[in-house]
Amino acid sequence: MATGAKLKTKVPARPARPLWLVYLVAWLVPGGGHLWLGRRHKGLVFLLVLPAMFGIGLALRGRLFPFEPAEPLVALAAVADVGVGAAYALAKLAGLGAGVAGAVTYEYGNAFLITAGLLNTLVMIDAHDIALGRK
Amino acid sequence: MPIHSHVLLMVVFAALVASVGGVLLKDERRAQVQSGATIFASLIGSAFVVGWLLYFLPL
Repeated sequence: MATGAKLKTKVPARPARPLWLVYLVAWLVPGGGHLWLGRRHKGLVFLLVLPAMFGIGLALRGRLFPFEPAEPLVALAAVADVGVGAAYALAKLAGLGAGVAGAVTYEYGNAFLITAGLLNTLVMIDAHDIALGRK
Repeated sequence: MPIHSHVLLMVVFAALVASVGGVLLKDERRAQVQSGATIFASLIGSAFVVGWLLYFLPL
């Protein structure tokens, strides 16, 4: 390494909006982060599809899993469920998502609920990249 | 919910995942549609392939 040479480091541009707030909005309202950041088309798709997916999961009698550290798979499913944001809290408050294990559609419901939460987590990461100016 | 068709539920699931995936991965409208269609076809196609493979397994 040459001595005295100035090291050029890339300093990322400071995001126009606080990142934690982008995360919070994107988590609470699927697509909310994108709408706030001016990506209207993407935001609208996420706003329509992800709550619909969550609603279908509930209608199919899927279960919103509880946080049970003793059962790691159940706890992981709970973390995925929470990813959908405010809809999760509203469903819990309304007493929905108890799950009917005997229902034919129970596993399908779980797949819809878990996937909605996981997809919203990806959407949050995308909003993070947009806020940082990477996309 | 009175829907008990596994195939219909699978198609609905694949369509919803594909629409989010396509829009998430690409920025241009045309590329989003292409990407979404690829994801949809992959999900449905792999489900049928795995389904037939399981059919021949002596479980």
